Amino acid sequence: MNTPALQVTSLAIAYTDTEGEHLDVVSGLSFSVVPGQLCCIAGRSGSGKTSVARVLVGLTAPAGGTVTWGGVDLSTLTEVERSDQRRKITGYVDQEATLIPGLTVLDNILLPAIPDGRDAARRAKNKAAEDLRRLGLERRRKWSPARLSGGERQRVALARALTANTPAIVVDEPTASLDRRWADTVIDLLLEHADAGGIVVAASHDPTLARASHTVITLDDASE
Amino acid sequence: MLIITSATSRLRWVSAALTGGVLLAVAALGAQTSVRLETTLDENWRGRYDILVTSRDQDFGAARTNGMVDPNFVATAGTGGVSVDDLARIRGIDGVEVAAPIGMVGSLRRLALSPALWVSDDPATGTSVVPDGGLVAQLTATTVLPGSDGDDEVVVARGSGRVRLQKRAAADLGTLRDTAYGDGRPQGFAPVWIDTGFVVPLGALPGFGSTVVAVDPVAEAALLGPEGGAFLAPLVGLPADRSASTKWADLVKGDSFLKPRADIDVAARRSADQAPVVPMVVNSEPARKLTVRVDIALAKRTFTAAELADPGLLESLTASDFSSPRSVRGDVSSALVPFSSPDLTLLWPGSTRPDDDGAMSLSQPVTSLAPMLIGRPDYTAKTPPGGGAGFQVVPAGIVRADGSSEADPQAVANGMDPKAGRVRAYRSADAAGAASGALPAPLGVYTTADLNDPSSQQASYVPLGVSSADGTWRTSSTDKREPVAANLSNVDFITAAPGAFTDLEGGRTLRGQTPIDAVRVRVGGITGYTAQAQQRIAAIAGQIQALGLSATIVAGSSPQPVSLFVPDYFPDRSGDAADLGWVSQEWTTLGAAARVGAALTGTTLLLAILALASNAAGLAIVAHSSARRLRPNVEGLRRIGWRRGRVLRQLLEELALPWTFTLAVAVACLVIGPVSLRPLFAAGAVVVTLLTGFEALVGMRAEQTMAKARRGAPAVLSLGSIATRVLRSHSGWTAVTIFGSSAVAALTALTAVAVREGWLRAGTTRLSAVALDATSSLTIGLGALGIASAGMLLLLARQADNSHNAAAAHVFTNLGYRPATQAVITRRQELLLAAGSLVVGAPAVAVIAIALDGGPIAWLSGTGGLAIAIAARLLGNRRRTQRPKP
Repeated sequence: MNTPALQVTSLAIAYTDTEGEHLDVVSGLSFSVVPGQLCCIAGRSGSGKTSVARVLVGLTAPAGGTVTWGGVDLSTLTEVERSDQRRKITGYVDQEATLIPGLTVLDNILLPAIPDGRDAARRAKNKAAEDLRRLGLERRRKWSPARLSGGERQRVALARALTANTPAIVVDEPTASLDRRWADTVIDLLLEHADAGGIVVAASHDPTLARASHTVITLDDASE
Repeated sequence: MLIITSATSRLRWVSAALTGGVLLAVAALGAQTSVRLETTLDENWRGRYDILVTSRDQDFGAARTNGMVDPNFVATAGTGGVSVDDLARIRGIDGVEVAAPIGMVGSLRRLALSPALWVSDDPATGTSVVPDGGLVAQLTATTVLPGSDGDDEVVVARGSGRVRLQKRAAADLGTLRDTAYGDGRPQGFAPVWIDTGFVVPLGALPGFGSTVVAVDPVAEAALLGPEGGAFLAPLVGLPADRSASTKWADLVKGDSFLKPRADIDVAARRSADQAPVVPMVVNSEPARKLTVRVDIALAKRTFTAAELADPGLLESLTASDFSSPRSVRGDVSSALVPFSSPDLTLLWPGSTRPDDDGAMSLSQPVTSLAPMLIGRPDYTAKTPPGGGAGFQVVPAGIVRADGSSEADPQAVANGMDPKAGRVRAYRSADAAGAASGALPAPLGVYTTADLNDPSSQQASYVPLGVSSADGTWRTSSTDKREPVAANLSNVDFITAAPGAFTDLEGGRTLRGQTPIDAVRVRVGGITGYTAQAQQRIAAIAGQIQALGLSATIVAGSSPQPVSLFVPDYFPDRSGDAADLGWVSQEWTTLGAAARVGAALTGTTLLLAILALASNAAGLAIVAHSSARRLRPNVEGLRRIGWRRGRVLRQLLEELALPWTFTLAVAVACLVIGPVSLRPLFAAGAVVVTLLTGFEALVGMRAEQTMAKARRGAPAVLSLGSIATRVLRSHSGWTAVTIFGSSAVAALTALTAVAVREGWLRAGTTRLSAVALDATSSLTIGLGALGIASAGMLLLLARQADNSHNAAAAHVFTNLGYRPATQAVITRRQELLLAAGSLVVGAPAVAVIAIALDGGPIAWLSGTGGLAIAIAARLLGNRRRTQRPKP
């Protein structure tokens, strides 16, 4: 697996709220993650974990600093290049584990492969079967997302990322809706991915995940 | 405070506002259409008179001609009459403002008219056009009416003969008729001479006649108003005693009517002769342009003195003895003017008129007055090329150019061709017994311009009965409209202007006690096109019918174009050329106002129903969609302990305000809208109430378990299948989109058909044209409102789609789908929706076009509406961009 290393330098993230007030979420954040590592970005609610995750995958532009993957600065990429980056290099699992309601569980899992053609989709389908089994979802593969519990949706979103098998996975609160058993299973899968030469960056307030990670980046609460 | 409906409040208020807007627009457009229609009918429904009274056995044939009657259906009834006593009884009915009688009572016929050639030969001065060796010529005198473009002149008479003339010596003028100097064969071409030349007669003209119409001059003037009827003034206040007397002779215009004046004078002096006098005003204009063309073919050789003296010379010659003819022409139109002394003399080439013109005339023009009854044409149905109202006039035999059935034997003996000038008759003409012996007394003159009715161009025009209203047109292949004039027979399918008017007493002199063909009755106290006005007219018509007469209500009538096929117009031609072909006229459509009112009111009602129905469909969809979104909130309140009844009350309180608003608008529309649409607004209020209740009931139902995916559904493996699967996942809104596009198509087709049918039912009368002009923009606006209401369904569906698509776009962006890739999925969705719209919408248009016989307009409008609905969605989608949110 040819995994690009992640380098974050002096990252600053700021928003303007609905009342026009400027809010600094993160400032001066620097860290790096090399292949084979699971990095946990920890912090209290509202500390900016999700914001950092979105910046790492190019969904949000930082207010300052740089994010590079394998030496490539995200800010120098076009929108198309950033999209390709997300689909093929830095897979992203959002906090809400958003699925497309009209598609089945299996359909949602195959989504990252479909733009590459039917053959790629078929190969992904074969891999998806194993990932679904490991996450206890093989009997749910034909279900509509509306029938799933919050935890099941989260596992489907993670299965989607694992099936896509991108070198890097950025995941936001992967264990938030899971019981301990499934949370441990998810942590094991993430470590497996890292051990296979990939990079996993997990934004989480789960102490078990933090303890299992190779590195932990703790964010201060900027609102304080 | 909104607890249950907070998330759907905006949608509900938007739909309430839209519904209110549609209701108000329908009310306003409907009211305005109603006002304009009423105003138009108020201003245009009455002509000069309201009721046409005829004898009981009179039939205008309107039943055979779809409620339409031919131009000048008033007079020339001919077969029966109304008495003067009946007229008095009609005038005695309360409410009758004017009762103006009219009757075709007689004819003025010109007799003993002979055109002639003047040949200069003046022995005193030695000037002569006669060669020294004499002159022998073949003469053919053809009397013609002008033809129209592409048609030859119409021959009305032809006579031929031969003449021999010799130059006279100064010392020997001989007797007036001396075959030594002039001879003619047959006798009608025998020349006479005066001091300065020869007068060569050219046979005799037919006895052309014109009709005499009887009216009450005071009532006629009252009917025509201040701008008309002045020419009848000489007929007012005449002596009751109609016996010939010097008093009557003094009344006749002596300088213009010498002979009638003299005739009355002579009759007055014969104490035993009580010949009645018929006073009249006379048409001073000829009815047509009449021309005589004389073809002069000279003998090819000269003749010896012995040959010229041979009395059998002219008969011994053959056609080959004469050269090619040369022609001279002369206008003899004045021969058609009653009592005129027309100049019918043509000049031989090279001749000059003598000083004493009067000496040239051979004519002792006589205008005879005789009773005459002229009938009405009969018609059968015939469809014209290009469609529209059409009839064929039924031929009724062949007559001579002057309407007589047989040629005058004397005229034939004098060289007139008995077969020349025959015309087709389309009416009956009855001389009504022997000549009455009445003496015409011309007291004044008028022209055709005096007969023009300024109201003839109005939408409510009803013919007065004097002559055919302007406008019989022959449509040629070049689309040029050529006017068709009546021929001179008085039994043509169209009538000419009358030759004279007389009063009722004059009419009785000619036709006896029932000289009246029709009475035109105007009802007083009528202000507008109201039910009361129509009832008043109907009541008076009923009273007239109780007198044993026929009373046809013509108020509310209007002229409309009709195509008329005239067969066998030229009896002496062969094949198709014998037909005059199709002509265009304006016929009177009885009951046009009622027809227009009913048609346009019906159209307005139908379009209003379509508009409100499509709006109601949108409301129902909104209600259903909103209701389902209420369930989680309802469920939430139930979980925290709210009782079901308390939840329901809360829900109804929150729904009450938009419901009240919409209901208030519906009630307001009941007040401001037209009466014909009130049931619709009442129904709308009921529908809104029902839908609000429906929304509450559906919202209170427990949340249903979402259906699982179908067993065996294959995994999506392509962008296209993603699109299909997403559409199926929110099949309700997908159906709304397809239904909405189809509804736009169907409503467009229905609107077009409804408007077309309304306009067709309104007819093609002048009144319908005025009414349509006043209301068509409003009608179209109402139709557009209905289509727009259907379009709202598409907007609702688009809103729902946007919401679904935004959620999916969030996922696609997170997963790294390029914007272009997301656009492919969206485009595929739109194409699937477009295809679905086509599959449903096209058959809907087809059903409307076929079931309602909508024709091309239904196909075109429905297809156009469908195309616009699909295109609008596709174009609207193209402008949407799928961009990841920061």
